[in-house]
Amino acid sequence: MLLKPQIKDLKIVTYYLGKIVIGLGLTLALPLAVALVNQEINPAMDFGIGLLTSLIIGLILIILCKTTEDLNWMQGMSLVGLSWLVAMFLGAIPLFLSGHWKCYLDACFDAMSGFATTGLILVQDLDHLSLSHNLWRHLMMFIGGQGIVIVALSFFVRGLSGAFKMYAGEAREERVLPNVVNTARFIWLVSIVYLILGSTTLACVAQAEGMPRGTSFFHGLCIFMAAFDTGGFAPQSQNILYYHSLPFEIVTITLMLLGAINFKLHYSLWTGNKKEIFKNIEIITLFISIMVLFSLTAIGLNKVGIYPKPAVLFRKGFYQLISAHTGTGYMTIYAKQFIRQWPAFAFMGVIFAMGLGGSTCSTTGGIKLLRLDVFLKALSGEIKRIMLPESTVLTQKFHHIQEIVLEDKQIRVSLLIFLMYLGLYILGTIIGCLCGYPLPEALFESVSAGANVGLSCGITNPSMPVLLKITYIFQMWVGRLEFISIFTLFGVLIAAVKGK
Amino acid sequence: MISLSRYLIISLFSYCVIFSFGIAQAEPISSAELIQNPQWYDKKEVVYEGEVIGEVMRRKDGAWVNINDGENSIGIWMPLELAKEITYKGSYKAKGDILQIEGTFNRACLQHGGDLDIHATSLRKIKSGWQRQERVILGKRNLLVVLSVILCLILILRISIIR
Repeated sequence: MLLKPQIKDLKIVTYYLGKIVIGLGLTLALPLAVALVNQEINPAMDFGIGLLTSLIIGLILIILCKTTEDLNWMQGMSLVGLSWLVAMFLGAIPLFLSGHWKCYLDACFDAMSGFATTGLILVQDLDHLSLSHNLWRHLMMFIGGQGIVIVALSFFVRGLSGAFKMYAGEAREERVLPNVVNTARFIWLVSIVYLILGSTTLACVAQAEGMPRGTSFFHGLCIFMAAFDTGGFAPQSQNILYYHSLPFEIVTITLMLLGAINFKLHYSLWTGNKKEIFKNIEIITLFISIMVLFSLTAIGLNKVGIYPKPAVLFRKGFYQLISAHTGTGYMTIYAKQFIRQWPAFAFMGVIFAMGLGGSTCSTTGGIKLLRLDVFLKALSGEIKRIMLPESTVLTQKFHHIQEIVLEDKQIRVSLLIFLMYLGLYILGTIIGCLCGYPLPEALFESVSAGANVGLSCGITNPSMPVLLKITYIFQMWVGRLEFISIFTLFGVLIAAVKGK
Repeated sequence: MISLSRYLIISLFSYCVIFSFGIAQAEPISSAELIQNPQWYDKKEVVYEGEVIGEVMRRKDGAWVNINDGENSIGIWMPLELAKEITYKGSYKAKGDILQIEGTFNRACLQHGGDLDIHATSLRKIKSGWQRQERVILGKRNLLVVLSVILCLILILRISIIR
């Protein structure tokens, strides 16, 4: 029997939603300040309108639904799902007002792509976009990478025991520190330290490669935010190809890999446990997976001979593969080249890499390597069980920060999410095919959206069907939050209609 | 007599072929065509036209300039002397120079790590760029004022509720 949600539930969710909306609105102050300093008058008004709208909505929700009660699981999960949708609508306001997006839906698409750290874009004439709008695009990735609710947890919520429900709802089942708010703050600390180091390095490289100082700093900052948060936006329409620079590619590969590592592992390394990197099951799987999938890609590329020199083949093949595996979506080739030039074998390697993704509790999307490990361990366990005498008690362990005994519950949850991701990829592929696109292209773009990667083979453009835009928005939203909070939200909506 | 007429016909035919080929060569090729069918133009002389966007990135032995023809941007590798002719670069605040580039197209340039690019041999400025003058959009300004008033009213209401 479904229990109908009560007015009290709605009030609690709405009250905390109001807080998150205000928090999100305040982040618009940064691009607003950049617009004012840079004398971009109309963009400054775009951000002013976005900021005021957020504050008005947030305050109305807080005033109308004032409560001191804490969140329960259902409320916390629904709140997270809802927050990301509201963030998309609010984040899209300044984008749409800039006039660089064909319609509000397109602006929403890019806002969701930004927050979900996907990187697919529908922006038009990106090369003439204002600095402040460009900063906002990348800032959305930085905020979304840490988690929109984590922003609120870190700065606006104190001593809330329901915090973990929101934290878990943003697809972070692992806590780095015992306290969730401290975990959120640690994630920010890691990100800010890397922000300073990474953007400075990128700015120095860009300057050495012939860019003026101010521009190189801006590009360094933007590229860092999108690379570390495995997003994939770039300030120019050519993406990373714009820079024509090997050092730039090396630094971005490093940042993408850092972004694909579990924050718990970052914590271990920060606290001096450097051996963990060689023992951690996710890192070992990432290494093996990169080796295998790069071999697939390289064999394919070598067969058609578009890159005759091994060094050139390595540079192009490895970059796209790492970008795909970490879920970033940075490209040093044109989208159409994937379809027109890359052979099926290499294409397949990239699709597999996108689908798998990086580590759990990182900013990457996709199935995630720990789940693949659990799946493989469970499979090998079943085979061993058949081969060993019936009386044998088999215990399986793996090393992930600590020695973990594999339990049935963990296997069940991992397999469930594994299957749900496959379902999500298939759903997007079917709708892509229904919209008239060939199967390989529809599959590529669907996996890219569902795994929050952002590589494109050319389907994603402003003229694609509205149905496909909505499908990809849905895939990015669901893929980023890893299903549970979205399903809870849908469950609550169904219960509100059918419940007793 | 026969040989002379044959000679004239051949000469005329050759002239027509060379002339029409010359005209075809002078027609700028689109970025979409270059990206979608790069194998047809690989290592061939092409003419490409578009707006300079972003920065001119000067390196030791040349400069990178990215040129957008309205659909895509393509990287142009050119000698430093050619790059000096560029005055305006496209951004939010400026419309970049419109250039016509002649050069060799590379599907995967071995000199530049496999990039799809054009190595320019000559450059012609079709139209000079300009600084954009930003005009305040009144609708946005009015909306901003209305939202500010609403926010003030809500804040007053909230303060009065707290008291």
